[in-house]
Amino acid sequence: MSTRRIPPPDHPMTILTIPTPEVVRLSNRLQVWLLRDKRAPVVEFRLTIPTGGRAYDDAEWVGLASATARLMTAGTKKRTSLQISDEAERYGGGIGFSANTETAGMNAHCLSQHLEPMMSLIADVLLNPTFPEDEVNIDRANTLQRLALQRSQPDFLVEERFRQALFGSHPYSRLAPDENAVQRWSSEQLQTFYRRHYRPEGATLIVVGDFRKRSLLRLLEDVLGEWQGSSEGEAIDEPTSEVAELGFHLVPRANSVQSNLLIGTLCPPRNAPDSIPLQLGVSVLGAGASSRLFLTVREQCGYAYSVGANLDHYLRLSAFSAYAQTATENTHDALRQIQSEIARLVQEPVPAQELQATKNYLLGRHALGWVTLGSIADRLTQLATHNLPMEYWHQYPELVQSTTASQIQQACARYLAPERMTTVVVGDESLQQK
Amino acid sequence: MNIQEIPYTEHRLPNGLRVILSPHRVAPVVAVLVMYKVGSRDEKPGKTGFAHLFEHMMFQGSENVPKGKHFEYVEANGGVMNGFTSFDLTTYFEILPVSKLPLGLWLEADRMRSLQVSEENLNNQRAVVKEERRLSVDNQPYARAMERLREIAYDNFANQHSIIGSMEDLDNATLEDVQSFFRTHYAPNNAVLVIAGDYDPRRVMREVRDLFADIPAQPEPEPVDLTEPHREERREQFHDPLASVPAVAITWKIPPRNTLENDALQIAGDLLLGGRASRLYQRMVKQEPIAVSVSGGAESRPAPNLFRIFALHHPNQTPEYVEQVVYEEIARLAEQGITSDELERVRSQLLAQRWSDNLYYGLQSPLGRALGLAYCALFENDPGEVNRMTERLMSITAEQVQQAVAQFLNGSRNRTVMHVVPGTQGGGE
Repeated sequence: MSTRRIPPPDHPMTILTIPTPEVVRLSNRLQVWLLRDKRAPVVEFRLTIPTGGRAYDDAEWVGLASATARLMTAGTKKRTSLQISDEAERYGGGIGFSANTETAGMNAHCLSQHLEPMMSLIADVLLNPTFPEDEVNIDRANTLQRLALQRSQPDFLVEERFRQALFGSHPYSRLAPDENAVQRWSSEQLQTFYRRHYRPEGATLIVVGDFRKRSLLRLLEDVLGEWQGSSEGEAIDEPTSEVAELGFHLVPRANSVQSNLLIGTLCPPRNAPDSIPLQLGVSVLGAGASSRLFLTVREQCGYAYSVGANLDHYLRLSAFSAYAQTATENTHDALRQIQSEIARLVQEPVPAQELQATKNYLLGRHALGWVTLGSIADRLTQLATHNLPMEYWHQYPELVQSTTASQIQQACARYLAPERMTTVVVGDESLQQK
Repeated sequence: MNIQEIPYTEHRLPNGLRVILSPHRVAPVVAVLVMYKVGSRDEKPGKTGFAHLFEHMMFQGSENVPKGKHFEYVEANGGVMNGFTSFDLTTYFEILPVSKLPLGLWLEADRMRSLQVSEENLNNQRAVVKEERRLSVDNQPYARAMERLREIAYDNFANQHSIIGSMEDLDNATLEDVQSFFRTHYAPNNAVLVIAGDYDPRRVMREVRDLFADIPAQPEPEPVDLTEPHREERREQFHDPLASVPAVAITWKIPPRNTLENDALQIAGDLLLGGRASRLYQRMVKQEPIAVSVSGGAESRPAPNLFRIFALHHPNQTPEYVEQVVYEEIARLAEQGITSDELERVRSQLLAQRWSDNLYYGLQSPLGRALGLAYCALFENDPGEVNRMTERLMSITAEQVQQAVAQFLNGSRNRTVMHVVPGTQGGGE
């Protein structure tokens, strides 16, 4: 029985091998990353359009980037929206586009036995979208209703206000479309956005899965060759590194029985030298069920079911946020608890054992990103969207292991100081700052 | 057909614990999963939400793993873990670096053998679960309406009540309830252990025996009556102060999983509601257009299930017209059937789902494999069913789909309809 008091000895460890894709440039300057992997008879596609995101909308057309992405699959010169969905599903796949803050992306997949026709379908959608007026009108009506729906959801409201507080009038603040713009745009504006931004030069196509390299490359040249042009040179203003509106911001929501909290600030981007120390500090604070926020706010105080902290990466900066949802009457106590845990990162070095535990957790999560074809494609996409070197994931374990407690404390002191924080609460209107 | 089998071996310890090993060479990780045959259906009136609250207690301490240490053991060793409660089952899992497989087994054995929780920990998790209820139900549009829909769609308490339970019942849960629930349902003979991933199966069975074999078996829990009477249509209007867009929800009671009828209705669900090429999406969102979105399909519990349709609709359309369009499409399917072309599309998607990252049936992840094997072990009493279910569904014919739709969906019998109206009652249009 006594042997049961501690876990039995470990099994031998197997080393995680991280694959490197082959990089090819097509004659139209499109970057293609190919990773052949036969673990499943599936092919995953990810396309990153570097200037297709919401920040690239003209000020009078906010929402157009997202509408363009949504309606890329609404019809081509050869196919209706129904034919596009129907065909993709027949190939055991799917295809969709979405706009993020900076980039737009295509996410598609198919069974490898249907790779050729799927690639032709993807090419048709990418090269020949027509944004049919009737589809634009349907999307307009649905977007307006979705907007009403989003405004009834506390997690949307808190993110929207938080972005405004962080970024002020900078285009990074955009989350929802401008209702007035939605009412006015037509196929023409979508066409224009598409022609300006959905260009091969500067974009990256990632293909992961069970395919034959030579024939895929021939096929890519064949179906994508006519796609021409560059989106490089499009630029948005450099975002400031200082939070636009510090302090406490309440978004009153009628009939709320719970408060949604976000506390956060702006931090350097992922390729900055102090990003890894900062990522470790934020993980000590709020990643996983043994993080400080989870153990205090949830497991000690019972204030929240879901509590934690994130570092969201953009190309030019990152946004730190700590989050919780808590009963109205606990709002201020939960806020104080979160603030004091953030302050502790600034005031004290992380103890050695806790730091090693956090490193192990991050490296374990890292290993889980290399299990399925889809997750591998997503990992590679992060390199492309954040301008990280191809060796980044290979070097990541060493970067994490070599980070010291004092580097973490320095980074946290610099970026997570209390006076740099903005706080947003969505909840009952009686909640004011205390 | 391109259906690769999930390889596995099955063992049973003398105390009744079922052990399934499924080595899978894909990355140096291993999934350890324990599924217990207990869920919200086993709750008594006045104790709703208890199975889920109990799931939280399984992370609150056992003989050698004090409160908080379960999380720390897993995460400090590079793993992730979670648990989830459904109507019929409660599942716990860890995904660990392969070298830490013994740790995962030890953690699961310790809490199967010796749950040790205090009043203080129960009160803490009661508060956490109440926040979970506020987060997922009370503070969200449509969620309370859907909870109410289930209550009126079913007649049997075991099927009616929500998994998260009521605030009042959560308040009534006692430490004694926790102890007796543990004794009754958390026995090795009421569970399955699955280990999937890149590990050495030869040494693992010895470790399993060392850790689990002397956990005593318990008497089989009383089987729960899940039967449902047939009945005429029920309808209700729900005023949702948190909602801003009106919605219509429709359900029918349909047969349990792994019957020809349920399989055929799974296919009907895909045809009507699966993806953008589906009939109801095309008719309601694109052709009419009356709906912002429409979703749903056939549930597949081992109990009378619901076939569900949920449509967010444009405020300038009446819920009556939304219903009419749904019924027209169902009648069209029941009367005219489906084309071989449509069936072909659905079958391709079934095959693709099997290969997806999908948590439940996806072949790509060790956790997906472990879950698929565990579900089939507990529901069908045969883990091998996981290797037959895709073919089973793919062999459903157009006639069988038409027949099942005509019998179970094309009419008001066993139907429940809810109109969700934004705002408070009497609060104007």
